[in-house]
Amino acid sequence: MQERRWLLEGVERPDADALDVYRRNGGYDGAWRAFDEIDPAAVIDEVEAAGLRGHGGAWRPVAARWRAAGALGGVRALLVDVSESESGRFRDRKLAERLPHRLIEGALIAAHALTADDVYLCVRADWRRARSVLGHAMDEARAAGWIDRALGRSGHAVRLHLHPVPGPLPARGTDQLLPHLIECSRPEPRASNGTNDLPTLFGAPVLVHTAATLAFLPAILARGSGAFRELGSADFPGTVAISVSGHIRRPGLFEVEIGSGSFGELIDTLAGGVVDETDLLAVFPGGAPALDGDALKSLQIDPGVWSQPGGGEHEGSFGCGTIVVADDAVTPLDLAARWLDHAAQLGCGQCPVCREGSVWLIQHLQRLREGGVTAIDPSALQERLEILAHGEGEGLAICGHPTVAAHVTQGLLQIAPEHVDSQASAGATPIDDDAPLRTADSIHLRF
Amino acid sequence: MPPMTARCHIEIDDRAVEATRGQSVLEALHTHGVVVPALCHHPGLSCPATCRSCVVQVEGQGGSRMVTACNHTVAEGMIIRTEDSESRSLRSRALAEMVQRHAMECPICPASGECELQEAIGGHGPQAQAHELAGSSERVALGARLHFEAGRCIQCSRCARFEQEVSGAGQVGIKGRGPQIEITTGPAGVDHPLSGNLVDLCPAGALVDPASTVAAPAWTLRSVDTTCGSCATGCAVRADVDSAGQVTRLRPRLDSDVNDWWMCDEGRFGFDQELEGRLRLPEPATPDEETAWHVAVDRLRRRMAQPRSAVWLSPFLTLEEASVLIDAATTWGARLFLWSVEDRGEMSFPGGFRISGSRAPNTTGVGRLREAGETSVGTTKDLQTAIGEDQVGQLLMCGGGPAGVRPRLDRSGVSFLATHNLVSYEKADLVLPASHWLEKDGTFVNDRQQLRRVRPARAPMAGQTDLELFLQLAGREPTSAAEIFRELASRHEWLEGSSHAQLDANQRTHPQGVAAGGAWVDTLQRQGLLVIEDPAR
Ligand code: FES
Repeated sequence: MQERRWLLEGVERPDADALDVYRRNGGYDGAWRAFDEIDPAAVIDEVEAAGLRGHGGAWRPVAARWRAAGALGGVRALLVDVSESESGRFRDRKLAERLPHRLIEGALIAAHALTADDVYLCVRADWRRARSVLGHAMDEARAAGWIDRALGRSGHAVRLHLHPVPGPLPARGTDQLLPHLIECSRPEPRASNGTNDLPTLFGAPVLVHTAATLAFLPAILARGSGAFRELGSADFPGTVAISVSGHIRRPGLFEVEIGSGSFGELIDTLAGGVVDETDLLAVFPGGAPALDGDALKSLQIDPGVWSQPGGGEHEGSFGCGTIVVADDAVTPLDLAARWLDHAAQLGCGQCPVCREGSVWLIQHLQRLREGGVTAIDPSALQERLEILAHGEGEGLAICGHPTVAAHVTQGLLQIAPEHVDSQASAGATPIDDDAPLRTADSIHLRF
Repeated sequence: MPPMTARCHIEIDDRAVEATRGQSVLEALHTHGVVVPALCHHPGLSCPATCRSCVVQVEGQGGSRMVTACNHTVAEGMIIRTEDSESRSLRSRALAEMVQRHAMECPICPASGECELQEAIGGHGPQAQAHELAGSSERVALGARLHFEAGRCIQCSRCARFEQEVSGAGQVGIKGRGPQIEITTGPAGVDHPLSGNLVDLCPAGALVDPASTVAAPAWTLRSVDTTCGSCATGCAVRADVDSAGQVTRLRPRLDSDVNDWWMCDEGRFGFDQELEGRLRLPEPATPDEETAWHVAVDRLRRRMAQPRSAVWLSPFLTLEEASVLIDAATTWGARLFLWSVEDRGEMSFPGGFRISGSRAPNTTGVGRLREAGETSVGTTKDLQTAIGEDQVGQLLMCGGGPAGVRPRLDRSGVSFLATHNLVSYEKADLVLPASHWLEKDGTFVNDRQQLRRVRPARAPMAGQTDLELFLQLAGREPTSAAEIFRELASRHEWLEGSSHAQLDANQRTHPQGVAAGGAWVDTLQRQGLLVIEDPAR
């Protein structure tokens, strides 16, 4: 297996974040083509021909979303989500820090296709480096006349705003949440009332895109949709950047062609294998259940094999391309308790199912971890996890945050069910865990 | 005529019904008598749809879905199901989660018996739930009449929204995230003039009035719909009366023309100082002794029939009382004056609620009687001038307002002074006890020219009402306020077409046991689990 860089193309160049380096390597050619040579409708056609989908986790076709927005009367602004909050995901942050101009250019192209005049780059406030790099890049782009000024023959001027948002945020529902944050409200997604699909910012309809999705646009415009289509599968063309962290020799961000191999190959070849040659266990923080090592190894890197959105045989969703690898020194039960605790803290606290359900689960997982004199009914635990997992689909939760939290926890508990059972019986001894999992914040990245 | 499209046809639990376009599913359900819990929704506030306890099944274009009834609107052909096992179990789940950490203190909670959460759990909650005792809840005093029981809070956010949208004070907010989310206030607590509404809003008994913890439980109360007489806004209120006949509290009633769902703290909490106050006059008195009513009435009629008499009307009188008193004064040949209470300036709030500048409930009404009457009625200033010119020998001075609202009049030179008041603060030759507005039957006209109906919530402390007194003074046979109003309506064009019966149409006296908003008790009654006999019937 090898890397195939499209999104991260040129990331290894010294000063990859500088405008002149970016420009010298074909940067802003795509934007120029979009603004000068073709009209917005043609941009949408090009993106449709490329078959680009959103990389935020839902994998919705980008051009279809743009057309739907147009049918609803268009949008006034584009919000770019640079606030990824799932543990172990660091793709958008690295993109903003290393290739800020690709992100800016992608945002320009999308705004032009949507004929929106404003772009809000919503960057987590605690990512100081990403914010300063993006801010500097915006200054450069502004000075060079790319933003805030009429561009090409279209004469369309796009204003860019850098907006820090508090992070981390709930893992889902950012569509509804980011406008809230720009309006300086609490980080709470709004409930859908089943009518208008478009979120609003100060009353105006907007569209929210994940940073990585937009960063595919410059090359699609510059090189043409055909080149993009050559990669990946028919349904999911192109590449995907996977954040790999945890008990792994070379943690990092790897961009590979969709469907070009399995996670096992990715871990063994590109990421250097699990530390100490131990067995592995993996966590997918993107909607998919956690999988045990063997199941993960043979799994293709392809959203199409998942029931969401590809209709494949695996129950769950591919998510946004993040894996946290744990070796067998970690107890799944312990990890599940920690995981859920973390996820609960990220929730907004509005829906009882998520707020109270996770409190109950955390309490009980904690009891399992500690063992104890009284027995616990593990089936009650499963039941509560099911409720949490189906929260959004059944209308009990506003967003998919509890679903993600539950899926991961469920998967972890399934890895060693007999362990859960033995901890649940009376007189179990406490699990003593000295191999805490390292996630992206403590690992050394390659670039 | 409303446009054709204003109605649409929907189906609720296999029943074909009509709904209004643009109405929410929840409203449509309520109009047709179907109850689903709605714990975060309040009709007077924005709808965040976060509690998820109102989930129902909806079939429309695009198949069947589980939707929150509060924030989805009805559409033509919509099929709504609330009784199916799936939506029932979802609602029960949402409620089960909500009471997970709710301190189950119903036996000592003042909201018990009229608690929305209790009702929701009873009607839609899980059959049985292992509840791990959440420990007793922590009580925080947010204001003199507002305490917060943190352990009972279910994070519906109604209070925080009220503070933003209605009171505009923003003194209650939400802090924290996830499981740590909680209601909080600033160091000043809650001290705005609408704070009492927070208690009504709270669906879980977390915001309570400390006084209510020692009051009679809700299911022993009887309620009377009336109008608040504490200012000229004339809020529709409900007076709750305990089995001893004492008014224990006032709560606002929905009246979208006047007060929506709200009332101010002054009206809500201020009444009992006067109503039950220790200084309240029990019977008529002369400076030396208490006298019987008939002695006092005789004496007053005799004195007032002499020349140079004057009657000072009070804006605290009802239309009926004022009109009878004007009649009496006319037979005496007494001059009439009207006390105008000083305006303190209107207070208005972002949600449209307002507190009138006038603390007297019926200045407009008595004023309009004056305009329409044949006899001219002077102002306070006119009266002062008349006293100064020695034209007033006998004066009947009506008050009836709260202790803080006193007439200022220099009455030296008046040889006989009779006062008519709740408490005695003036040395007079004859002191007559007045009725409190909670003891009155009649009508007020508020400062927006709206007719407001006041109905007695308790028997008059002084043994008879103002109206009875004035009828005696006028030498008339006893009659009802409704009858007098009918007379008035025939004499005054602006009252034409109104009657007590018509004003009463949406008001009622609730039999004992169905206290204000005691929907829980209603539910029990519907299920035949509770039978309440109305002693009045
Ligand atoms: S009342 Fe509908 S979600 Fe709370």
